[in-house]
Amino acid sequence: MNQGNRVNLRRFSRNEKFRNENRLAFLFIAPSVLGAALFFIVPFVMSLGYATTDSNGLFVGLANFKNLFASEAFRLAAWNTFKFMGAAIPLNIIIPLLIGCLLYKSTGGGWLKTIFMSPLVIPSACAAFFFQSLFESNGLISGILGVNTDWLQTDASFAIAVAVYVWKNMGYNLVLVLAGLAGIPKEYYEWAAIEGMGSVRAFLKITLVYMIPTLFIAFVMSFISSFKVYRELYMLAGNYPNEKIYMLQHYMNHQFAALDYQNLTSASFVITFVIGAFVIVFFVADKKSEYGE
Amino acid sequence: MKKALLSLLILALLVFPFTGCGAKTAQSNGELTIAAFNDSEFLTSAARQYEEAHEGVTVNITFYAGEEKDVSKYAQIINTALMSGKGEDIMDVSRITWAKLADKNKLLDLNGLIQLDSAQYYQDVLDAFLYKGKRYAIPLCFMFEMFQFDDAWGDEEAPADFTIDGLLALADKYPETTLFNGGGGGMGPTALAYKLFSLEFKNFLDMENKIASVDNEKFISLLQNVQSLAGRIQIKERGDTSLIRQYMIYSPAMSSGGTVDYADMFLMTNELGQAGFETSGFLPSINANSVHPELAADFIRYLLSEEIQSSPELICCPVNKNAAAALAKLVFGDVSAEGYAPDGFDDNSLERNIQKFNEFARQLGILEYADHVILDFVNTEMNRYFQGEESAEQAAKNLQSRLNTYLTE
Repeated sequence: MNQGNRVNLRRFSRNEKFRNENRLAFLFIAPSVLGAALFFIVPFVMSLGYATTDSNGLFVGLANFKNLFASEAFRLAAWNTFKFMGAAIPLNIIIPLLIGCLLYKSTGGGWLKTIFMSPLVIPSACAAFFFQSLFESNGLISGILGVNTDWLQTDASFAIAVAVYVWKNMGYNLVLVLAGLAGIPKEYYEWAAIEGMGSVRAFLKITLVYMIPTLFIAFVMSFISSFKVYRELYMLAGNYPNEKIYMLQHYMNHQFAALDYQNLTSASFVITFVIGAFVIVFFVADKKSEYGE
Repeated sequence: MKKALLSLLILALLVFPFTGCGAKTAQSNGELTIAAFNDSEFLTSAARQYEEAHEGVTVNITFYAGEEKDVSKYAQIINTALMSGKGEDIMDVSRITWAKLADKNKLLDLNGLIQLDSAQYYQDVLDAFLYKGKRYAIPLCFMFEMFQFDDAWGDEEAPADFTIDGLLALADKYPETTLFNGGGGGMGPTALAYKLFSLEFKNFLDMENKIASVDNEKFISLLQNVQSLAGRIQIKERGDTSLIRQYMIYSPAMSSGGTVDYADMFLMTNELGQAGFETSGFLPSINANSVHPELAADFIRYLLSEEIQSSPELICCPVNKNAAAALAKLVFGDVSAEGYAPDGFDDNSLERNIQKFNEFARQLGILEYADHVILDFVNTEMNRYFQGEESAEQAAKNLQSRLNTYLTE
């Protein structure tokens, strides 16, 4: 067997092995792909039919989308959700970052870490019960202030919703922040101290710079989890809460309950498009920052 | 190969649990399917009689509450079935916001299928269910509240129209008196305020055009008027008497207090002289997907017939006039036989009662509990106001906001 044949044989056997491994991998991921296709992708594409037809199945083009944007309830829900994300996501990153920096430097703060992370494992129903006992008309806050006010039915409900979200979710970001901080070489801080750099400057020039990839992940996770605040809000204030905390999830649930699949699917497409656009922008921004552009 | 087979087995196990799920479908043969929320002896018995009278037809009823399902689960089952082109032929929409289903063309307009003769039925009660001029649901029975002055407080005569103004005038005339005895469904401040709200429902809510108008002086003064009577609305101690007795009327012979003489009774009305009523139990409508709507309509006609409506198993007053009279005589006969008839109340009194009942029924044009979501909103905000959690202005503003959201969704 000459040299050329040996090379071809090696290449053939490597390709064969690659093909076999690929086949096996595809076989293993097939159930997940099939499940996702069957229960998410195919229904989502099929729902385009509902979004472009009326309740009698007649094609109406973009009329359902026009009706959707004309709906006062949809606009209120979208605006509230947008405002909620604008307030809650930054807080859900800044607070764990600051707490993480303090905990990382302190010694023996293990029990504090446990306290901050415990809301993560507390069931939503228990969390809702806790906040209800704080904010209802006979709750702790009303008792302290000597009033008889159900705070969840007032304009303060928005601030309560943000507080509930941050309290429940900051533990996850705290884990990410602590892991990110552990990855920053200590020598950088030693060098900064030798150069006479203050702690605030060291935070801005070293910690924040090296934490950007971690904070990006925290941002994406917070963005996704912000949609899940509905669970707590539903348990706290019911399915028609104060108008300040009427979110897109409320709107979507009610559309399903009212059998309005045209509005439901149109809203789904709009929301998917908006979230998709945001995620693409985030990833492009992240790539650019990664390559120093 | 083994791995491939194992993967296929896992895949099959994953897919298997999802097969066989689905709602009941309308049958194309002589099988009539009915979805009802609460178990009903009346409906079961009527179905058996219908089967006996119609050879080859079977009537299958599913009582969803019997399967430990709550109202929201029932509504979800009905919605999902309707949306997928399935569902029972006849559906009980008593616990569902049926107007929204009608807007989506999921229910049939019964006007073309069932002719309702006003000589035969309490037409105002039936017409209170009209929506955008169409009839999507037909009540089988109804009940309402009547009032009577207690002799112990003077010789007040029953007024022709008893409105909120009349109530306020009486409250001024008898400043130390408790106004209601709290019979029937009870009459706390919220119940009275809701009753007054429902009498003015069309001024506060235009359901067909989805417009709410409660953040205004009319609603605020309604709350404040009732608040001015708080503490005098319902007797608190056993043995006390009130100025006005209150009865929930279930038939021309019976009320929440037993057999009563309607001679000096009156209704609480709005300025147009209209009074409110409630319905109870099964509220039939026909699924637009039904493959044999004529059979479904025939069964509903059967439920409205004098023969079936005369059944004592119907838990409120029949909408069929002859059946209402027949049932009243039947029930009064039983009561008399057992010695429970009031002194001096005889067959002639019963005839007068029936006549008076028919006069009252002509005033019943307002369905008091049409939309459960709106009922919940109004009661919640009224409760908060009467418990001092918010001002009347704040209650009106909050209610307006919630109604706007609900109606514009």
